Amino acid sequence: MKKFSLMAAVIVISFILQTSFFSFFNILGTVPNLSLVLVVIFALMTDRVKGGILGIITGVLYDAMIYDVFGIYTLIYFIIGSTAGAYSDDMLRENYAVYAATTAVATLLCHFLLYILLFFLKYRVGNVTDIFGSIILEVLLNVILSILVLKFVTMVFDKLNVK
Amino acid sequence: MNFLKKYYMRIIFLITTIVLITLIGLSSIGRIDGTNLGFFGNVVSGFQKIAFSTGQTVTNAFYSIQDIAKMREENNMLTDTVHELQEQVRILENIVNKSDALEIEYEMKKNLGYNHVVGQVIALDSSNWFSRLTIDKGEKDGLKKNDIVISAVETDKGVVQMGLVGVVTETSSNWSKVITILDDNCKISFRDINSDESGIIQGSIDGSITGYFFNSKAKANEGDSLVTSGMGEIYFPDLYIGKVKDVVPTTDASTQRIVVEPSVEFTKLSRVYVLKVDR
Repeated sequence: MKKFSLMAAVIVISFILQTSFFSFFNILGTVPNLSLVLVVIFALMTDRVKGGILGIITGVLYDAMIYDVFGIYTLIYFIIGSTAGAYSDDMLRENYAVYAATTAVATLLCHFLLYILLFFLKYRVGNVTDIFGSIILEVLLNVILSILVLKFVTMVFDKLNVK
Repeated sequence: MNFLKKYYMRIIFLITTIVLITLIGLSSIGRIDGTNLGFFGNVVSGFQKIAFSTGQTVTNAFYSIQDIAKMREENNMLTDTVHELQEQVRILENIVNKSDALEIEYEMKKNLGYNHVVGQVIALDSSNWFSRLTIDKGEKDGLKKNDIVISAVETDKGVVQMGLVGVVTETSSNWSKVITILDDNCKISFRDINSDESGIIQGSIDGSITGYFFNSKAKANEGDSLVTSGMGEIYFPDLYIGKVKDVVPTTDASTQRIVVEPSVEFTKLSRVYVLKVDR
């Protein structure tokens, strides 16, 4: 429970930083998605239920604090969290490449789901090709960030003696 | 029973997904209001405000160091521009003062006072798909849905508008959500100051603003200034939007698609003016 509470607190802090502080540090107009990276890492560290709940917490924060259509990010982060959590037992949790690869897939899945949802919400998603470059750059940035964040999270959890 | 036991996790996953999709559907058609998280939301927005200000201070310090060399050159250029503009104002005032009707309208517009609130941006959406922001003023400051958000500066002579930012979509007690003119969901009726033709512009998922004229024979030129037309009853007329950056003929060749360069630099936006509208 201590581990899960700590993860939820980190998710809230990451949301605050992602939507405010990090907006200033974009690379070619793209900001790495710390919230997504954390959902993936925490889901892989736990299981599908906890991954799904952490995904829902992340999504609710985004939907409630920034967007006016409720549920888009809640659904996306829930799917990513619970799916990554579902495969966590089959993966080698100590391997950084697993986290990096899952982050890359999760970033692409996030954009794919956004595309599908926005299509049904009648957004003009026809010109999605215009943001392909940004999406690929985000994948790369998220992969790099996932390794840094994983090292940091492992270090913090070790210091706090959280198993 | 065995089936339920075996697949209960998948069933829960499926039910949650269906519930969330239903929520999205109901929320998008306005059947349910977005939640604002109450006290927790206020606490989070408070921290966002601190984090945003810190981020801004850090980047400003970085840019200040980077820009020192450019500043002298820019200062000289701005001084020249001020002189040019002062001369232009003198010429225009001279023209306006020759007509009584125009003079009355000029005085009215010059002294137009907006009932406004100054807000600070506390959160920005940094994804590609949307262009939303959150500001630190809400219902307690008298803000309502559809209040207009502009970028402006307050001088001794009053509020000088620099450009349209967007519109308030949802309010909480201490903060509000704003959809910007770059968002795909934001449509604005505009008027071309140079040709006096009207049309519609809309943001897009890649952050560009494009539009077309109501009159298919209307022509726009690069550099034309666009203001809100006031149609649609959300935006006041004559709020500055930006300039025409590009004019692209459409496939049917009878209409033009215009690409607009907004006057507001959204990545550097921090202070906004919310114009309270009594509807």
